Amino acid sequence: MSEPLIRLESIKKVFTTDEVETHALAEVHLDIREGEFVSIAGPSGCGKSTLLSILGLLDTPTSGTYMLNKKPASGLKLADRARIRNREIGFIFQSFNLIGDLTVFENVELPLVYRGMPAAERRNRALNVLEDVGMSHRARHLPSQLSGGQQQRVAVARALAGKPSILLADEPTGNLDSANGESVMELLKELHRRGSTICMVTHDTRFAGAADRTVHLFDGRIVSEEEARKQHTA
Amino acid sequence: MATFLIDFRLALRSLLKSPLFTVTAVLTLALGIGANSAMFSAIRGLLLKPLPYREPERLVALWESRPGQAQPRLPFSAPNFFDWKDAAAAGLEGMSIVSRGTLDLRTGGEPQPVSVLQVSPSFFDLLGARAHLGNTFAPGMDRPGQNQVVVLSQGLWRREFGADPAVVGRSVTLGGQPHTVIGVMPEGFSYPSDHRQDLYTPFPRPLNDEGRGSHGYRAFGRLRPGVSLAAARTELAAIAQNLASLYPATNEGCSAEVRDFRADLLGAGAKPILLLMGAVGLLLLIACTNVANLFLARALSREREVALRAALGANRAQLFSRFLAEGLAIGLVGSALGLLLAALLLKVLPSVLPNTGNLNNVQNLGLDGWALLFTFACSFLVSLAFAAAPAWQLKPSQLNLQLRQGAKGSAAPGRLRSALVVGEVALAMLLLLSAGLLLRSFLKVMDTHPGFEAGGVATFTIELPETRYPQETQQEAFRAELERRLEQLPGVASAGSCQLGPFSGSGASTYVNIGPTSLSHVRWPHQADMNAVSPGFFKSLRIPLLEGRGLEPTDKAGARPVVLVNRTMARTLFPGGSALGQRLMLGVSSQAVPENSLWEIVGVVGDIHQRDLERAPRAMYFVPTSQVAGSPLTFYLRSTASFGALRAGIREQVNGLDRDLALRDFAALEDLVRDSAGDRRQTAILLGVFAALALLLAGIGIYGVVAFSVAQRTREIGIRMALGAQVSQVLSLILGQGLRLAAAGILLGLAGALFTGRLLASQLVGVSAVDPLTSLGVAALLCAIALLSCLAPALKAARVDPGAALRAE
Repeated sequence: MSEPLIRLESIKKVFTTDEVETHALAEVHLDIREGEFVSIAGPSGCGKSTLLSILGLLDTPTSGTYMLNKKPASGLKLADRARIRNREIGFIFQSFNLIGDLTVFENVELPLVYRGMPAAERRNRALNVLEDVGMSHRARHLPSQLSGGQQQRVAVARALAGKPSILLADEPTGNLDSANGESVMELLKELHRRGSTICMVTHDTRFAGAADRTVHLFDGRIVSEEEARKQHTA
Repeated sequence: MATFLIDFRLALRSLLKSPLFTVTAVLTLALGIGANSAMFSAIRGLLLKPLPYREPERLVALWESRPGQAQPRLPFSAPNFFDWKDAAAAGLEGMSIVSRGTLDLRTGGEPQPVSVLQVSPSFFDLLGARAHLGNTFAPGMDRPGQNQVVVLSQGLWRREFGADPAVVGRSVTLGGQPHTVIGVMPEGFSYPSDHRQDLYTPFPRPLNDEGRGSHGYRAFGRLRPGVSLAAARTELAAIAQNLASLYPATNEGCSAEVRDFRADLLGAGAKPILLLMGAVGLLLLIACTNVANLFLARALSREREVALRAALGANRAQLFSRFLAEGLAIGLVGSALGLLLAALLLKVLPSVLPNTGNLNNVQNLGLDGWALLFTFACSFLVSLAFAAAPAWQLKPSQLNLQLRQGAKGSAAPGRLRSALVVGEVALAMLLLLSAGLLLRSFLKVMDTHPGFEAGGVATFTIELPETRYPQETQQEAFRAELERRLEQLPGVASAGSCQLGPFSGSGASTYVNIGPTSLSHVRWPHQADMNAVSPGFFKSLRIPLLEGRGLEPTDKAGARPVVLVNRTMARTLFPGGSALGQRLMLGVSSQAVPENSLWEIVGVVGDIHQRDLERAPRAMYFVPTSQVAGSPLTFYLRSTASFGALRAGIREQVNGLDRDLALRDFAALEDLVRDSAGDRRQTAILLGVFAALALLLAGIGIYGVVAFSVAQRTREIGIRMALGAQVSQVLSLILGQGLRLAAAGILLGLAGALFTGRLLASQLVGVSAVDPLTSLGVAALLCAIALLSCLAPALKAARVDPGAALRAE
C-alpha cells in the first residue's frame, strides 16, 4: 500500500491556561490517503477543530509526529508553515471567512497573490475555479452581496485556487440552511469524485456519511473509524 | 444631578482602567489648549490690545514723502519737522519728533551709556502721559539754553537713583553736559520702540537750515476730534509743497504721509507673529482631531456595552450622561494642564518671540481671559461631542445585532477616523513645510558671506559729545589718536573705524551724480549708501580692494576729496568702464569738504552687507573720516586677545584720552552678524517646535487608527495567514495602510501649501514657497513617522496566531 498523504502518530495537544491543563487531543493516530474523503465527527468540544487546526498547520501538537506528503510537518519555521499552508492546504471554514473588503474574485486570487504568481496566471486560475463552483458571474461582487450558500461556494473556490494536496473543511455546512448545505456537500462530493483529497469536520451525521471514512472523536481520542457501510471498533 | 455624579465617578474609574487612552487624550488637549492660549494671549497683548495712551485711535504717524520715488516714505529732516510744526496744521492737536540715541550719563561714578529719547516738549501731552514725580517738558524747552532738562524713566530712576523721591531738581551729566532732572515717568510708560528707554530730553530746535536734506527722524501727531487721516494728509501736503517751493534744493517733490499710528509701528513686524498664530491654530485643529479620533476609537469598542445598557433599560439621555461624564473628566484635567502649560509658555515667549516693534511691552504678557475661553471652548466641545459618540451610534431597532456584533461595527466610523487622520497629516504637512521653508531661508541667510571677515573682530562705539568736540578736526584727532593707541594693544593686529558700523542698525543713503551739475541734489539720478571710514577699516574687516588704491593718511582735510566705491556702485554707475578717476558729486558735506564738491574715485572695494544678510549689497561709497569727520564712531579691532583683556585695554586707552566717554555696544562682530538674523531664527525655531508637535500628534493619530484597525482586523489577518500570507506580507499590509493615510494627507497638505505658500512668500529668502526639495524632505519625514507609528501595530498583526484568531469567532 502506498504512503498516506497525511500521517499523524501519537498526536497530543494540551492547552494550559491559569495552571489548568486541558487535554484536547490524546494519542491520535490517523492516516489520510490521496484521493480519500475523510470526515471527522464527534460532539462539541471533542477536539475535532483542534485536530483540523493541527492538520492545517494553524496549530502545533504538544507531542507526536505529523507527516505531510512524506515530509515532517512539525517543528517547522513560521515562514515554512505559511508556505505549506499556501501550497498544500485549502481551507473551507464554517463561517466562510471571506474578507469583506475584497470582491469575490480578489478573495479567490488571494492565496495566489501570496504565492507570488503573475497577475495573468492568477486571473485565469481564479476565474476557472469560480467557473467550477458556479460563481464566475458574481466575481465582482462583495461577499456581503451574496447568500450564505454562495459565500461558501466562493470559499471552496478560494480553497481550490492553489491546487492544494488536501482540502480541510471545518463544518462547511454549519452556517447554512439545509438546501444550501446540501448544495455545498454536493460540490464537495463532486470535487472528491474528480480526485480531491478532503478532510471534513462535521457533527451532522447526514453529511458525515458522504465521506469514504468517518473518524469518531470523543474527549480527544479516536474512538472509532467507520468506512462507508462498514465499521470496525478501534 | 445625583445620577450624573455617579456617572462621573464611574467615568473616572473607567478612564483609569484605560491609562493609555486617558493620558494621550489629556496630554493632547493640554498641548492644544496650552500652546493656543499662550499664543492667543501674546497676540492680543502685543498686537490687538489698545495702545496704553489717551485716545490712541487719534494718534497718527507722520512722514515726509516723495511720491513716485524708490523710497516714497521718508523720515523727517529736523528743519522740515520744525517748519511743519510751526505751520500748526488745523487738523492736528500737535506733533512730536522722536529720535533715539545713546548718551553717556554720569551720576557720580563711571559714565554709563543710557538710551535717550529726544522728543518735542508736547510729546507727553500728545500721548496723554503725566509724570509720576515732578513734571514733563513745558513748551519752549526745546530752545537753546532751556533744553538741558531730563525726564527719567521709572526703570532708570530705580536703578540709578535708588527711587529717590528727591531726584527732581538734581543735576546729572548727560553727554558731558549738565542737565536737570525735572520729572520721573510712571511704571509701564514707554514709547513703542525696539529699545529700552532710560530717559527723555527735549529735541533741540535747529538754529539754521543745516541738515534739511538729511532725513532720519520719526514723528507722530494727534488728530483733532473728527479729523480724518485724509484731511490731515491734504493739509500737511500743502505745508510740504510750500516748503518745497521755499527750499527746492532739498525739498523738491516732497509731500506728506499720515498713517494710522498702530499700523505704522507694526509694519512688517506682525507677519512672523501672525504666522506663528496660524501655526498654533493648526496645532489646535490637529489636537482636536486627535481627541475626536481617540474618542471615536473608544466608541467603536464600546458598541456592545452601549447596546447592553440599552437592553437593560437605559434611555438615550442616560447613555449620553454616562459618556459625557468621561468627556468632561478628560476635558477638565486636560484644561487644567493646558492652563499650566500656557502659564509656563508665557514666561518663555518674551525671550523667543520675534520682534514686533514692541507695540506693547512684551515683558508684561499675561494669560488672556478671552483667549483661554476660546481654546477651552474648542477643546471641551470636541471632547464632549466625541465622548458621546457611543450613545450616538446606538440603533434601538438593531439592539440584537449590535449585541451580537459588538466591536465589529460598521465601516462608517472607520472611514471618518481615517478622514480625520488624513486631515491631521495634511495640517502637519502644512506646518512642517512652513517650518522647513523658514529654516532653509534662515540657513541661506546664515550662509551668506557679509563681504568682510567678522571672525576675530571686536567692535565698540564711542559718542563724542558735540559740546566738547564741536569741531570736526577735534573729532578726527580723537579718532586718529585712539585708533593709533588701540593698535598698540597686545594681540591687536589692526584697528579701524567708521561712522556707520555694519550690522549696528545704522546706515545712510544719499544722492549721487556723475560729474558736476547745477541741479538740486534731489534730482541727481543715483542713490547710494555712504560711510565715512578710516584707512584701517578695510584692513581690520579684510574687505578686498579690487581696483586702484585704498585710503591713505595723505587723504586728509584740505587735500583733494577722494572716495572708494564698492563693486555694485562701480558697475551701476560705470557699466563696462572703469570707475577709477571718475568724479562724483555726493550728498555729503563737511567742514573740510564743502557741498557740491567733486570727489574722485581712487579705488573699488568688494561689496559688503551693511544692515543684514538678507538684502543684496547696495551701491555704497566710503569717504575718509579725515575729510568727513563725525560721531558716533564705531571701532573695529582684529585681535587674538581675550575679550576681557581687550575690553580692559580699550577702556584704559579711552580713559587716557577722555574719562567721560562710555564704551558702547562692545561685542564680537561675528555675534552682530549672527544676531542680525535672530528674528528669523526665532520664528523658524518656534514654527519648528509647533511643527514637531504637529508631527507627534499626527503620528499618534496614525498609530491610533492603525492600531485600532489591527484589533478590528485580527480575524481577517488570521484568514490571510491561514491562506499562506508570510509575516512580511502581513507587515506590508498594515504598514501600507498607514502609508496610504500619510500619502493622502501629504497630497492634501501639498495642495494646501499652494495657498499658504503665498502667505509665507514674503518671509522667505533664496527659496521658493513651492520648493521641491523641502516638499520632498517633509513628505519623506512624514512617511517615516507614519511607518514608525504603524510599526507596533504591524508587528502585533504579524504575531497574530491564525488558529486563535479563527477560533475567536
